[in-house]
Amino acid sequence: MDPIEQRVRESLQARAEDVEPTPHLYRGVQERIGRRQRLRVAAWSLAGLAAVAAAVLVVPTVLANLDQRTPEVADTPDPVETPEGSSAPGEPTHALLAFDDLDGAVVDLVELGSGARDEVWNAEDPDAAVTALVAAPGGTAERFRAAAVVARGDGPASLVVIERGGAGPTVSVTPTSDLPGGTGVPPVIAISADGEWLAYTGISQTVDAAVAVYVVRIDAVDATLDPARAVEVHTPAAADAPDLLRGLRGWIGPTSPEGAVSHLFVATSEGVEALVLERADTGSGSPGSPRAQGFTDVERVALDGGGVEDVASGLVVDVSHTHLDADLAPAHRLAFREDGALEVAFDGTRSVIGDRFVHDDEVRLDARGRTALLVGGGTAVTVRYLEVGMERGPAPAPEVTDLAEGVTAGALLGGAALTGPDPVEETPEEVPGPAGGPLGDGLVVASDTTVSLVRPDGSQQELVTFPAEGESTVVDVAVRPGSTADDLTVAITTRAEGTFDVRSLRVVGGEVDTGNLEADADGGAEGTTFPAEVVGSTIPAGVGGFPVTAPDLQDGGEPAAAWSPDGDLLAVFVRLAPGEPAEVRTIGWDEDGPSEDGNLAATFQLDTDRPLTLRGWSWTDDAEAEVAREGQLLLVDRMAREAFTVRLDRQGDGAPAMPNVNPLVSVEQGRPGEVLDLADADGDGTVDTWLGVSDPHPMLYREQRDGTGDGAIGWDVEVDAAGPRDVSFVATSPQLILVVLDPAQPMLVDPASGDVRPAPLEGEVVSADVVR
Amino acid sequence: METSVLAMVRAGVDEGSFAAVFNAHHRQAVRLAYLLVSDPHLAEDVVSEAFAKVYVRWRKGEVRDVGAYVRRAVANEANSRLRRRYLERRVADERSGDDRGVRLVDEDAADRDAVWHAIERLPAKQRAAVVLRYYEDLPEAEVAEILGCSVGTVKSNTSRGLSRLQELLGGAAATEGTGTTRGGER
Repeated sequence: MDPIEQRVRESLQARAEDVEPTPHLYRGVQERIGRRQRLRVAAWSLAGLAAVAAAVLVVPTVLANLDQRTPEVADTPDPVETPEGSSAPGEPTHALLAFDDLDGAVVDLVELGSGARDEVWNAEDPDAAVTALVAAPGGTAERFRAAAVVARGDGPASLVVIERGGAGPTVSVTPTSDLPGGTGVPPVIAISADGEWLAYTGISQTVDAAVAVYVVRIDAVDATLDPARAVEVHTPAAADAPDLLRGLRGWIGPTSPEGAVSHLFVATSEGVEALVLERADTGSGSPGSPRAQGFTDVERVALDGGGVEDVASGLVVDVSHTHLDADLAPAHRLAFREDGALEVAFDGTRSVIGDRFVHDDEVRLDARGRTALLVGGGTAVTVRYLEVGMERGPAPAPEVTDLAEGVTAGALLGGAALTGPDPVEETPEEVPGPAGGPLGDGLVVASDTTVSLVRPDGSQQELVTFPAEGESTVVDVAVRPGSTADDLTVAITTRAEGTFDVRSLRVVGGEVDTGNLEADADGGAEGTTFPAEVVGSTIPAGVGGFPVTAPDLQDGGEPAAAWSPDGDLLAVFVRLAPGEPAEVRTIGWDEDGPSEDGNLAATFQLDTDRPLTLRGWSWTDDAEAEVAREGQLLLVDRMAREAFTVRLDRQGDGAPAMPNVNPLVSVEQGRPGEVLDLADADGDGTVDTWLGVSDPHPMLYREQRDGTGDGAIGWDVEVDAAGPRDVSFVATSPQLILVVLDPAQPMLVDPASGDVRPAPLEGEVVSADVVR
Repeated sequence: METSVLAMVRAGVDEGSFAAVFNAHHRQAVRLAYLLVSDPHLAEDVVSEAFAKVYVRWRKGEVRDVGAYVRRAVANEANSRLRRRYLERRVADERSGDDRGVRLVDEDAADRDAVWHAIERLPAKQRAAVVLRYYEDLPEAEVAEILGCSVGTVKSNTSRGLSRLQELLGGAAATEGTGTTRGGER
């Protein structure tokens, strides 16, 4: 055992032996158990988290590019008296909760204010368990329509429709084996906004090994499902890979009268899609049924995350919220954070739910208006937002109330039903670009022979031109962090006559700095006519004898440079000869250029024969205020189409450090395709790593970390649906992403919305970096 | 101990079984929680909450390995509180300065004390990995399951934690075993 391991072990053992439980501990456990078992507990406020919630305001959810019509809000049927504590019209007053009782599943009507329970339906089967429960918007305690999935051991599940009208509840139980696609798949369900239709998942009858969404009409008279009217609808993700389909997350818009359009939100593990359904008397569906518009009309919903990104498991598009309009649909969302806490979000307000759920609980969400219902691990709680929205300033933390224990599924009653006249078509507004303009703080772009600065206003300034006769070509540019369009440093890697060189170029006050041109003319600028300060050249001179020149090896990868996130170090990845280890060389940097601090100039060997290219350097810890940082280099193997990270830290004195045993870590596991490039962008307390992926269609895939560990979220952006293409490279900042598939057609992506547009750049782009 | 037995008797038949479960695991749970959060009162709070959650699952017969489930619940509960405390501690450390150089009469005790204080300064996930590996003596796969992460992450956090401990413990002796190449080599 390593000495440090032994010391740690001894210290922990010694410290632990000093600790004895107090006699009161079991009483504390009993009290907590009792508290959880009580049906109602006084609402408590997350006052201590108010400051956090106020400080972390997220941008409201934007359903970008969703050609969504504005549904009219119809009269809420039979409004009930608003209970104490609920003030907003249409806010839920009751919930339907399914309990796992010893006698089997029961569904109770539970009053949110008092916790009073009234049994609505009893499965009368000890093996039955309700696994999903949905209610149509606008329901009240006296009049509602709901549907549930009832599982019975290994047998087929049933779909149950529960309706309460004037005389009492009417219940219809339909084994899914009697419905199309209903065998063998535990279904998930959604109910239409007008309560007239039910969507459920099942085995496709038209596509082998695919899961489909079925839509079936609920008979309003006796609340039955008519198997003959079930229509199979496809969602591309589910058809391609059934495992991707995670659930149905809301159904916006009317399904009647004829011609009305609604959107059914389908959650997949890759995001949320809006499935367009149209009521029609002719077409592919049965007469009078919703008609699927097919693959081409399925729209990918872009969600502005704000950190709550697990859309597949924790999203409810709020179908009843009165703010619903053409391009803004508030959505309740939830996700477990890396620290294990459950975070909920609604319309700009984000809060942590304390200790109700553990990380392995499968928490389900329902929402109406400003109220959300969370069910998981047997516990049901409500979260009520008193004030919401960014424009109203910091919002108070929501009110969290324990509702019940032993709950397996739940649905809120209330909100406004979205039935009504045919909605008016609205012209979707253009999605605004990122703050500061679509080009952020600017770009440095390279063609084969020229490096140019693209300013935020789109004007392009040529910085360097390499002479054609020397056959010099630019292969990489890297902008020093902390640069602006008027004052920047860029490391340029070129290939010429069998060697690679790395040079640096400075722009001061908007002009190229030529101060060192003469001094370096003999050493590095030979054969070139550009005004550049030379770091390395065809003659291994460089700065302070620090060579950054490497031969052009066949299949050896391309040398390239990357800056540390604060710009204090420049790293260059090279391989000097075939079969020799690759090297990472670093050099310090300050405002005047290369540092003379010898401690910062270091060489580290990497035992790999992969033809790697360096793509970035980022910190992986959260020690923002410290000099010592843990970091990683981003590398790509373009031949094998794989991406890797390798650790490179900085010590307390600023010197770089690399562990002796330092394996390459693949970053492609679990990705939907081959990783062709990756780039980091430091944001507000987080680091986004954008992966350019081909699956074979090019996609951007984001991982986000906040310095607390390895947790990641995924969000993909389809950058070109026209056909299979490779991602040449990606350059990112928190404000923008430049992605290049075709050098002649670079594209800009808004990281917030996923909006993709052509980049206003002149000429072909072989490399680029973002000014940041 | 006597009080715990009395609590078991008072708890009734169903809870009596759970009291037995509690009695079998609570001491180890409190010690684990303490090593994760450093505060004995907070450790008991963490353990209370963890057992309350275990109870819900245990009552349904869903817990096969109570010890493992308790460890997981404790680690999860502690983790959410630890990061905030870690940040607070860093601020406190900045105020109070480094305690390197403090020498106690018993050198072994002094070393254990120094190591412990260094462990307290680790980021939450590194600390959890180190504690579960070297106090609970759990294999990496089990630590990964408890922490809800990959084995690779456990290895990484453990390794980083040890490196950070050596750095915090300071001195040339600490640097010898780090396995780290220092910048400046050519």
